[in-house]
Amino acid sequence: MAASMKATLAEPIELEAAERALLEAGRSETGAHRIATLNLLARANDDEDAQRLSAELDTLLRSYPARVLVITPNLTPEPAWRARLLHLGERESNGSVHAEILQLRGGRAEDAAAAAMPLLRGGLPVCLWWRGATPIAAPGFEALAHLAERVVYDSDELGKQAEAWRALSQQMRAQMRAQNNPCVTIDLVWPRLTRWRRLLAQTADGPQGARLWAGLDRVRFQACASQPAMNAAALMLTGWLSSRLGWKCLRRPAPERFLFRTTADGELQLEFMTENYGRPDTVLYGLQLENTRAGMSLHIGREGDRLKAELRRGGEVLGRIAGEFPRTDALAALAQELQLCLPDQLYDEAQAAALRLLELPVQA
Amino acid sequence: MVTTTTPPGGPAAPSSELAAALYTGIRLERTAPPCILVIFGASGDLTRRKLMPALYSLMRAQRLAPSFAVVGISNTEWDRDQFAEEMRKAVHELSGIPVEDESWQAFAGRLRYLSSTFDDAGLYERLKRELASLAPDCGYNLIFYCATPPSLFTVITAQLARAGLNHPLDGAPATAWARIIIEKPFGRDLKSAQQLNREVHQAFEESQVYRIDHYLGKETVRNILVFRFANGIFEPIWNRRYVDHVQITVAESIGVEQRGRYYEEAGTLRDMIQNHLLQVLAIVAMEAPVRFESEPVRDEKLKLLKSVCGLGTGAEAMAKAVRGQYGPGLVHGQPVAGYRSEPDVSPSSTRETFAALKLTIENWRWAGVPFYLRSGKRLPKRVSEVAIIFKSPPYLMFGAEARFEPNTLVIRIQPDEGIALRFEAKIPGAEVRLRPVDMDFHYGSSFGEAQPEAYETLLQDAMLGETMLFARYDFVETAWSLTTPLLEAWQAQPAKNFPNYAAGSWGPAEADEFLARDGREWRRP
Repeated sequence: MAASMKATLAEPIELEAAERALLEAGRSETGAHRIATLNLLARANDDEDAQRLSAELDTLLRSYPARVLVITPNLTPEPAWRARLLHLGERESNGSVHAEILQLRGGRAEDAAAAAMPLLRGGLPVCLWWRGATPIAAPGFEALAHLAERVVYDSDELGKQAEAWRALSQQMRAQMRAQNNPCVTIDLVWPRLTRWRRLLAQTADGPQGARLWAGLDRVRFQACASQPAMNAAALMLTGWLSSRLGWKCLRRPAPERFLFRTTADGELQLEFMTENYGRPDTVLYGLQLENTRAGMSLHIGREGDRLKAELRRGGEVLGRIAGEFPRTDALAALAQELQLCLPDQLYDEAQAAALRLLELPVQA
Repeated sequence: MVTTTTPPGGPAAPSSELAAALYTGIRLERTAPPCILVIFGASGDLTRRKLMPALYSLMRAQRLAPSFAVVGISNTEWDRDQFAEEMRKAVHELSGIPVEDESWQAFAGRLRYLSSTFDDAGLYERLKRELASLAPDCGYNLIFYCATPPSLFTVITAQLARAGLNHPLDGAPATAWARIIIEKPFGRDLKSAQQLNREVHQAFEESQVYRIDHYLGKETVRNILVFRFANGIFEPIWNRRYVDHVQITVAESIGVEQRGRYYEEAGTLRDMIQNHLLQVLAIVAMEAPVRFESEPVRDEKLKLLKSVCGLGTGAEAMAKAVRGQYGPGLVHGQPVAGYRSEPDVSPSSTRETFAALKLTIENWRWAGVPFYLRSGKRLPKRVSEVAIIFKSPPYLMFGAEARFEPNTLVIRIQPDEGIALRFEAKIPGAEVRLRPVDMDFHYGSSFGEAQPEAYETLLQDAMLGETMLFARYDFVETAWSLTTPLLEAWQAQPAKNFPNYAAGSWGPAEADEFLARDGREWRRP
């Protein structure tokens, strides 16, 4: 096995020199095993952000050996694209999986796609991970999106409140359709919900839990935020539940409250509660489901790195489930998302259902 | 779920439809449906080393339904708490899995224990009551795991049937099921395997029976199917036109350790070749199934095995095989004892610890292509691989002195799981000189994710009703019908030259001569 670190060059070099360096690194890899599954284009805000990102890429590269181009535009007064080789070779910190990480820096954002193109590994899919700024009308976004089979963005970075999420989601859907772009777009809010979704599914997959779900009539999301507003993750979870379980929204009695009809012809009241105003981060931390007729309730909540569910009837605890809830930063969410490079119909339906809710007028 | 109360109004409506709607499209490992696993032989080695660590890992990864329960049964006089404590020690000490207090408490809360001998009819009535009390909370699906000596399999299946536990409990929803998992060996020859199948089938339908061959749960064995049928470039050359021969090797560097008594009864042909190697052979050589589903895959495997030319009997069978037994030697530089000096082994034992076979397959794809299978203990290293050795080019234009090695595709099952393709390349320079080089894919350096333990995969598959990785009765019987004539021939003529290979070597010289007669040689993995 070759040495773990092949090259770390601090100085930016011409793109052509970077291309040569990639070729030479390949030639000198005696006995090394270079497997790659994709090209990842990741937007960074500045050099420091690019360095930090490079160091944190292990989660992703364990599963997806990749050539990563970290794109950092507009850094110099006279824009010109240069490359910095942040890492070439195996990396002990990610299980010795081979990786190539380059920073493309300094040029005009509009030219980022042209700069990136010759440095992509041929024949591999391209994923664009748009970080740190809204992609809507961002210079260079459209051209980069055209290079990619998949565009990933993170509405969490742009505010987790419903209105910001709504604007971004609507515009991304519209933009991709207008461009007739076959690439897949995904908001990383969605993979962050996977463990919530699995825990909810598990609660339904047992006799006691099934009874609760059969007569479910009250759902309350609990989030903390800097101001009262619906949480975007909670909205997506609602969109998913209503689209999967066939709930029809009847009306919106209050801005954060909705009335649904379930397939069992029962009424279900769903409410978004915001607490702990003033916390610096905005987090969905709990979910309460009730079957009031059966006197049953299910509480799901985050406790550190665990997601826990407790099923009760009256004061009696009927059962508990605890699942791992590992960090769901953007990289971890992206790693999960890349498992399937296909359009995700469930995501699309959940997002559409959530957007429809926000379009409903409030009828007291 | 940890609860023991039955809600008013009787059992809940089946949850599967609603749960299925929510499970759809979740990109995490599959989650098994709720079920109760009953382990016969709960104090034994298999339960400690494999089953409990696998179950604990599955639970921690949320791949078990929350309402899962385990009922352990053995004749060891434990109560539930002692059982839980013993299992905790086993998971921690034998598997090396870190045991966290909180998750272990949740796991231990799902454990139950009954102490009894397996032939006691009263046990099964107690078990039935225990299951009935668990079912309202844990669901009505039942899996019985026979982690016992094979002689007890049919005792257990007959008693389960007598107690009515070969089908779901009273009051269970129509979708509920009862399954039984049986560990190898499935018999010790064709006759006993048929007898075992008959007796098991008197209690359980074939669709309820899951015969575990843990080799099939290995990630790399499953990857053979993906490699063959998800890639367009290999299948066209996967036949007699391009393949010279195939070598399947399962080598172990360890001796029989504490299993001397078992090994004296079994030997390598029964212990390894009749099951593991023939399963691998079937996967390597079978035709493409019509669908990637359990029955079509199992049908193709059976079809392949039925195409294997029989070994004949007596001297004819013996001519197609080589056997060996290790004597003292050096393994990894350390002196080790010979087989006959191992605990519980007869000092004059004629049991084989090495076996090599030549099989041919009579079908259009493989006619004339020999498949060489070998397995042994106390070989130089632990390695399992399949090597496809391709034919040389029809005309060699690079001079008589050019040394050629045939193109070889090696599928490494363990360790260093991966795939390598060996081909000839020109050494840079004015002269045309050739050297074989490897294109090498390593799981370890290509994917940083750990591979699941075979028992985790197989246990979860049994809960999910996925039978693809389990041996069907007809495959087992066909495998025995292939190997039994050789077993009988060997038994009729005990080896006179044992031990015939030194521990730490690649087997007896006869094994090399065996291939040399065909103008071939064994790979050195």
